[in-house]
Amino acid sequence: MESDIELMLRTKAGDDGAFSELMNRHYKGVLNYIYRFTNLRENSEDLAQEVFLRVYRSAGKYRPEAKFTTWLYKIATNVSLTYVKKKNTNISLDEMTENIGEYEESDVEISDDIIYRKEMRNVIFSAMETLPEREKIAIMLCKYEGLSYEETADVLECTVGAVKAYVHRGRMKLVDKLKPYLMEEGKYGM
Amino acid sequence: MECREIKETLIEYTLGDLSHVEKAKIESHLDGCTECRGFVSESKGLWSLLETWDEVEPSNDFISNFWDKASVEETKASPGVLNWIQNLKPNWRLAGAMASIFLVSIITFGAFSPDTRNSLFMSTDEQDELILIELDNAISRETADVLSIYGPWDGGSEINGNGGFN
Repeated sequence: MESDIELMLRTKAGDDGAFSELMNRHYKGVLNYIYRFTNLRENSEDLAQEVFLRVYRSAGKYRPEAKFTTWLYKIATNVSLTYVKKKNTNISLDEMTENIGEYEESDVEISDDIIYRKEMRNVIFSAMETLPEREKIAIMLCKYEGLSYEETADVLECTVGAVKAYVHRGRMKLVDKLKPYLMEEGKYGM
Repeated sequence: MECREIKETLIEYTLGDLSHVEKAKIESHLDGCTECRGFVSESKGLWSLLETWDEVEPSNDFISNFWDKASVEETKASPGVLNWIQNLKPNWRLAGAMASIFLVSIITFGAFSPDTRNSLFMSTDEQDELILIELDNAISRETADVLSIYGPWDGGSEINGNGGFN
């Protein structure tokens, strides 16, 4: 299987098929990252496409110096942050939490599980919103996108030690915020 | 090991960055400390809780929508006067060259400006000058004479209540 960098170099040479293959690999991750950042399902798809458009537009200048994923998530982070900052002036948190999940659940009979999951999404999103930006990004990249500490450090342009500290501090704050929802686990060892 | 130390080293413990000896120390403390055990469990529970935030599935036409958008952008980016103006980028070399030429021009013209010290003052010019002064004096006297019907101009004269001078 070709690496992301090879596909990107083929894109640079004018092969759009290679870029479609790259999107196939990453669009779900980027979409979910943006979704968790903005908590708006419908806008997430447009924003994810904006991320790939930026990547595609800059393919001509691409130099394989950094890992493709870190470059991609750096762009996704910038797009999300810009969107959230712009949107926060026009939309309240309540509106944001009301919007979630409507897209895929409108035609489905609402079960207790769906209600519980929807509530948890709101609760987790609200708790995440209280974290400092870097702690929130570090947790989202490490926990949800499966990026390593090194890759997250590249995205945040900081050291691996700093990323570990962000994740740890953010985690401790989330424990405090979400205490009522935490169930005691049987054995430690994480 | 104290509870405070446990909380501080929890991150390394979580990441598996501790040596076997340190890990054993922490686990031995956890076995005997309900509070720390609760703290570790909550931290672990948090990671499980975060997993309840489901992923969303992208629409099936994500990629085809992307190419539609990309082609619309390409059309927009097609050549046009406005687009050409928008795409103008500053050419710093040209700007630098223009600035240098401007500077050199100023210095050159400044250095070679006409020197009035060497200009000739002809005798006819002197005569013209005298005529002009005489003419000016004559006009001034005549004007003063005409205006004298309103009273003296010098000596701090003031307008009285009847519109005349004191």
